[in-house]
Amino acid sequence: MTEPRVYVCLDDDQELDKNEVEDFFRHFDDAGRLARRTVLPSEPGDLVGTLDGYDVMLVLVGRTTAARRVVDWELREALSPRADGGPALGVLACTVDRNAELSRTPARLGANVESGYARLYRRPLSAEELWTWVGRAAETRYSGAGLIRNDAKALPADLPITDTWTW
Amino acid sequence: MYDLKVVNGTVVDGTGAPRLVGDVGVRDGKIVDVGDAPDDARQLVDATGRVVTPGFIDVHTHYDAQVVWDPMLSFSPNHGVTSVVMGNCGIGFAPCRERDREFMMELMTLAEGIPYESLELGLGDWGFETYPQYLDLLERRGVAINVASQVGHHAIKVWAMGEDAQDRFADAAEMREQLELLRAALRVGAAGFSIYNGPAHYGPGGKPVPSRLTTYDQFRQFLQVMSEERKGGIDVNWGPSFNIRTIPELTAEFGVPVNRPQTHTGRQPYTQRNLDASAAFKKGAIWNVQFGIMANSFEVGLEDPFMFAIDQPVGTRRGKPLYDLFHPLTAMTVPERLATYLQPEFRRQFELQTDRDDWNNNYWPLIYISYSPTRPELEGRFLVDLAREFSVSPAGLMLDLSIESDLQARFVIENPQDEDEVERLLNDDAFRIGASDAGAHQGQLADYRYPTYFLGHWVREKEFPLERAIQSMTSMPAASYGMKGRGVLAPGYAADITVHDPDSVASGPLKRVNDLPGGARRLFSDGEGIDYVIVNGSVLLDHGREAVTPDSLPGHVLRDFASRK
Repeated sequence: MTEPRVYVCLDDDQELDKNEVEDFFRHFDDAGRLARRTVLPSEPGDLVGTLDGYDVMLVLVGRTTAARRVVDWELREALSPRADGGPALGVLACTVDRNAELSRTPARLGANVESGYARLYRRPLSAEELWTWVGRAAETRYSGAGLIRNDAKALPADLPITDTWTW
Repeated sequence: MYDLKVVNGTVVDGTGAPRLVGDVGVRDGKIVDVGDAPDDARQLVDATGRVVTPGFIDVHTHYDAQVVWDPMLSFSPNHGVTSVVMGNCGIGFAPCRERDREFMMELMTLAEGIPYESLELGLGDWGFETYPQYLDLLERRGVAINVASQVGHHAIKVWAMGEDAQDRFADAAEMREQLELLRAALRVGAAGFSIYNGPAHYGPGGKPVPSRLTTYDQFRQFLQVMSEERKGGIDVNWGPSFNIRTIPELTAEFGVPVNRPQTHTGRQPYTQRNLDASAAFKKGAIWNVQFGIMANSFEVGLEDPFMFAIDQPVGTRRGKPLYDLFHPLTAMTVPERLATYLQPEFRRQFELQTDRDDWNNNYWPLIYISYSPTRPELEGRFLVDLAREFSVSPAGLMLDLSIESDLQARFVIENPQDEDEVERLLNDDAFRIGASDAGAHQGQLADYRYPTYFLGHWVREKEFPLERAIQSMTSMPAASYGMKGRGVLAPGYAADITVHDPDSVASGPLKRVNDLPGGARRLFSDGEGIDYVIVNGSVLLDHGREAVTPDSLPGHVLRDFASRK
């Protein structure tokens, strides 16, 4: 069985979790197996087809991730059937902070964690642990397709970030 | 005819009312008369020259396992405590399936510093799995003082998810099961719910404890159940979901009292949080922040270096702990730790990483040697002073003393308080004395003795008003948990009474005793000047001596808490 191809969804447009994000990639992407966006889309339609070829989406949840429309758009695209008729991507998420700080979860992700399609983990302690979780997500894209919740409208704009989002 | 009468004492009733000289008459475990108690009694307690108060109530303890093997809940009663609240910090042993026992014991060991062997030997065959079975077991075995138990989030999450609870957040089905467990526990007599949202606790494998993996929306679901059941409060550590902004909003929305988090004095961000919490309380937030009157000064050793392995967010500590260096040691055995300390590279890193302004200015000056079997003449000396004398680094000296004593050397990390700020908190109804951690970290911490420290240091030496001091240790903590009929000396209230000598009351000197199951160490301090401890009308301690037999323990398992209106 080939290794799942992983697309990483994150909020890379802010400073709060910058160090943690860089640290995450430094620790867990030594083999360059984690892909991430290179161009910021300006509308949901820009993403159609961009996730073809990936098996799993890994959402890195930081302090402002839930506020970002681009995160919602990518999740929406990942949870949609592929153009070639293949299943949606498996989805897992983890806190980018090793203290598991989590003020808010992206709503679309939360709905799928609740349903059992996606799983929300703490930051992994090792690459081995991360790839075990990725493997489970890759299996769920086939075994758990009926659990997908993707009927919410795409987030039209970034949500306001208030000081209740951090402590 | 009374069963018992306390005579000629200075009676402080716990409400904050002025003291009076008089008697207290007791019948059937309840107080019948206060002040003027004219009837004869089968048993007299002479309180001439002594202060008679309600028994003290410690709302932050970890006796959840110890209560099974030690119904005296030592050493709390020695210091005048007659009621405790257990199940704090999200941790407890009920409910717990048989398959999860080892995991939960390891979790308690790592998070609260109770030796695994002591838990294993002390809990024996357990005899319970569900929360109701746990309370029933405690009632069958008996307790010397009154115990109230909160249900801990770790316990119900592990019940629902097994060890996965430490790796991920629950899905909807797993949450439904947890919510039903919480509801069931509240209905059979849980004093509330505790959840851990802070950054300090790690469990097996160095993973964050289960409760830390909880979304904000899941917190809200727990609060919804608490709101529907209308009983109990929530104990919670500071964290992303429970913070200075969200607590007032959440208590307003759900009407559930928040009985913590813990705060400190003399440093940010706590000082600002204290001001904000006080303001929120005055605006109606149902919120009682806890603080430790003794400030949690830990006695630590490199045998168990968890204090150095804490991973705190920036700004919550004066000096950054050495997470990367020490965290791997938390999963090691003691011989493995010793072998690590012997490595030159470890020494080099320890010295390098603590030769920084934050450590040199804020940490090292607070650490002194409390126990050094190989060099006892150094006990009581601060590491920075000795390091200067010996021309070594403080880290190197700590390592040397530890290695040559086979890791038995002990060091106290003082947690200094701003006593002006403490006094402000003591006079502010938003704050509650708590955070004693009684039953936890017993080899490192002895804050269970806070009542005698409070009465000796604050009331006698600093002349803090006696009535307010007693109120803060009796009726105020009772109100936090809706304990019915306790915490006040008044007719109809439970006869939980402490009699102390105001001229001599004090915390006795610390001694290291190896009396936990398996011979593990804990710190013993006697309550000096505590003449009598009376529980539900029975004398439990008479000048420190036990006055009951194992089959006549007078404590109750508290199950009936006031409903919120």
